[in-house]
Amino acid sequence: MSGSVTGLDAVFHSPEALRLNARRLEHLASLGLPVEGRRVLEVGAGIGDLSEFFLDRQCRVTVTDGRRENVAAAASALAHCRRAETGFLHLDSLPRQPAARHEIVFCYGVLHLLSKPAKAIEYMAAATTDCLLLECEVSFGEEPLSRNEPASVEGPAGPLSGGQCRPTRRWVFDRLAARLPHVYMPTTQPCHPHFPVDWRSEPETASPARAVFVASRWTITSDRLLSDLPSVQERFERPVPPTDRA
Amino acid sequence: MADPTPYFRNRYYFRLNLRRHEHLSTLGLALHGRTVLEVGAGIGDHTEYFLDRGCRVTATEGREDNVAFLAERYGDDDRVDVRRLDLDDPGDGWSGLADRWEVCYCYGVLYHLSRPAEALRLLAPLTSSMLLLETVCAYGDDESVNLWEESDARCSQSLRGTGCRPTRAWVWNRLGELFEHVYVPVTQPWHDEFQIDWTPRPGNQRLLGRGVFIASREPLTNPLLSPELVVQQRRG
Repeated sequence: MSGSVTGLDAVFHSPEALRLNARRLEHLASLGLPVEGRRVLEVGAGIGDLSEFFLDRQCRVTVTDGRRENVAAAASALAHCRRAETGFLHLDSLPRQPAARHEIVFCYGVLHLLSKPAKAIEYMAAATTDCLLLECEVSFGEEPLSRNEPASVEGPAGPLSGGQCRPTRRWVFDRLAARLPHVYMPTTQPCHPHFPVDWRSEPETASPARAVFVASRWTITSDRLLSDLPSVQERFERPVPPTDRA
Repeated sequence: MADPTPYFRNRYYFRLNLRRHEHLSTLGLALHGRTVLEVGAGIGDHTEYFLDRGCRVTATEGREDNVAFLAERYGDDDRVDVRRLDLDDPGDGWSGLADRWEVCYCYGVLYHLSRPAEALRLLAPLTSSMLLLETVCAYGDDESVNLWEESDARCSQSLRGTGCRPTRAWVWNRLGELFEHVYVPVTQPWHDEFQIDWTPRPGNQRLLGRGVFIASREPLTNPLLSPELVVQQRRG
């Protein structure tokens, strides 16, 4: 193994990483999606810091990552929980078919670190019987484009294959819609500067731009979800009633 | 100075803080852009919850080690004012202070105090809108403060080795004496330290759980808040 637990902690538990995770999960909780007790496949899980969102909601979670040292650290951290299992899954080097299907596939902070994002979406859609929750860095723009880039970050939280991508929201939305019948975006964005709320023009700051997508095999009735790309979103504040699944 | 980070930067706290803040977020309280008095701020890991919501925060702590860490962390951030506040012995500088904050945030602190009633009496007049309180509580219908021995060597525990484990009725009634409106959420965080059934049963007098309380100057119309101290809650 190339990364010690202490080294991994320094990456995954930096103040910036903790802050980003907190804002992401507060936002996910605010969407009111029915996740309790589901079977979840988490991809690009790192050392399992987001896994407990689902484990604490009584889910069974298959926690996967494309780096074996991350998988080992996640296995150690989650060893106390019988509803967690860990495994190796390299999203840029996937098998043709998923080994098992899960109700929810959870893919936060990963897609933009891949050199073959379309293949990954295809795989994840095939792996879900219910919905795919996806958050990633995106590019501004209306066109359905995915720009390949050289890796800008190295280490246990960086790209595995030396390349990464910055798709537009339209590209992600269309790829998801090609595989799953219902695609939504939240009306709200997390309370974090990486999540813009006005997509009409690109800000001058160099801050990453992130977006959240919910793709489902079923209609989701929620006043927190839109069935197209909003040009303007808002920060979440209001309580949300439980979501009905039609 | 001791390094406080190991006491706060570990998976137990990461998980507890995430579940607390997911829950607080789902309550839909109007927290954006407020002035916040945060007590028992530790090393400031909760402070960012409010900063990311456009708030200005006065982050206070009783331990010098933690105050020094906070000052280092937020010294260049003009949205944060770091001050020392020992809730068990606040001194003359805090009582009678003319300053007011819209929100007082008191999560994970009250049960580390040996004089919790005095602390609430100090904080109430400093709060112009609402007090958000999360604390470990003991089971029971009675009003008991239940003083409790703690380690004073840990930067995340009591300053003087004595904390408390009040019953929910004790907390509820003290807040009711100080605020016009008191609520408990009908939901509890998705964490096993937050009980959802508070029914007293023989033999569980020593059991503990965590509870959340919202005390407000104005009535809050919110289906997720109960104006009664409900015994049964649900996850949310």
